[in-house]
Amino acid sequence: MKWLFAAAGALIVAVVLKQYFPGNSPATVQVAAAGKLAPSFVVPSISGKNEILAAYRGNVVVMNLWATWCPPCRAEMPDLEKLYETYRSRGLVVIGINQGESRQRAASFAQSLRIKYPIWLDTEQQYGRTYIAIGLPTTVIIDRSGKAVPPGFDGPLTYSQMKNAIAPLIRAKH
Amino acid sequence: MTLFWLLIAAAAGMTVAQDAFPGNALFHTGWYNVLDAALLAAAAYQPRRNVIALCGAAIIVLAGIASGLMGPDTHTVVGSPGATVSDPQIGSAFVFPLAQPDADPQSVAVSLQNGSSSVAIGAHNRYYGGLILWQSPHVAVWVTAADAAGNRLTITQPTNGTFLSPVLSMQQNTTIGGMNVLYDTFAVPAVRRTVKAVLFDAGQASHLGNQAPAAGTPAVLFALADRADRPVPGGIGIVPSGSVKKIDGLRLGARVGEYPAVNVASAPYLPVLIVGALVLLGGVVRTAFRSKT
Repeated sequence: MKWLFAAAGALIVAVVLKQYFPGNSPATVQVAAAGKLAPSFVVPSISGKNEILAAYRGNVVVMNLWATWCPPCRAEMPDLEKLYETYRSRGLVVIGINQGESRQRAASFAQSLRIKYPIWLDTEQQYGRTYIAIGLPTTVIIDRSGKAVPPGFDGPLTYSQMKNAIAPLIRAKH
Repeated sequence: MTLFWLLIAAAAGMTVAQDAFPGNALFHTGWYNVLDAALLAAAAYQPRRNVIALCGAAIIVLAGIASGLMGPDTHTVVGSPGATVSDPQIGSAFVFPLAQPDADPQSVAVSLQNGSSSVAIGAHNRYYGGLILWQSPHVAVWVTAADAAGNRLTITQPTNGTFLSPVLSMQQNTTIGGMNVLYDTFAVPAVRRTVKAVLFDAGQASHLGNQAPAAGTPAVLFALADRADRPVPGGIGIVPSGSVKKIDGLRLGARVGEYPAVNVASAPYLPVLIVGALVLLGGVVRTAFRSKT
């Protein structure tokens, strides 16, 4: 009987103490809610049409957050365009989401770089806030099921980095 | 009532108070917890003691002392709409949903995320393990920036947790003209400007002389600096909430609103507290039954 009381006591002590020793804290807040359904907001594109990320489920999406004042964004946009042209027939969509700038500014900038992939205007910076961009550019890759694939990328990517990131997803069936 | 029962009631009461009045710093002081343990020890040394009730009280006191000495200190987590803020003290992150400036902060539910589990928090106390969480409104300022032609510009907060957010959580304070005011900073990288935003609530704004907005309207003072943090000549202006003003060629807008912050307090772990209360109650019933027979 004494053993039973001792065991019950030890169990209660263990349960109580466990509450005050937190598990591993998220050391860094990752870009995007990686592995979860990618948050989606309705925003206008530079052509004036309302767009939403969720509508592209079934495609592999390379979502690139950018702004015209950001030199590294400018540097990687031609490579994003090349990626789009190369893989679009295999279900890849590149979406450039401009952060907080006007239609005119974003459109003329994209035109000067001969960008053909869709450019959206996130005037309220909803994607930027939600995907926890810690700098620009930020690139998040979303698989065919609509989930953000870890890790997201802060800073510009080279063409080969982009290709390596999307290759397994392009091959995967929905 | 004997001294034993008085001591038991006092010891258990000191723990229950932690649940009834969460967040009080008193519960984390050493002497409070030592006193709680001492009351229990004194009860244990009483000649006419009830062992079952004593065990129940011991469980309750254990839960209270663990919370008081090992639980995190009471703190407030402030985030801006859309941000995910990690709280290393509790090993979890809070997800702050997007909201408009005119949204009622009570209608916005922040959620706590721990691994794959997510718990919505509201205005009322929410138990989460050894914690009590509740929301309270916190002031926030939604800002906009546009160039002279009215083209919107990106707003960044390089020194804050949420880099790409146009919502300032105003967590710093300073004194201007004898008034204690909140302030925050943001950047407009396209024009290489950093902006300090100082909030004057409606009462303070009425003391701004000829720059005072309409009665009952808060205002934001914007002070522009260049990349080297040198003040820009003519780069200061006061913008009433809901308005836009041209300062140094920039059209800056401000809208003052409220957004929930999350208060985190440690609390005795409720299931253990209930187990202790049931055991204590068993002791009380046993004593009552014995005294009748």
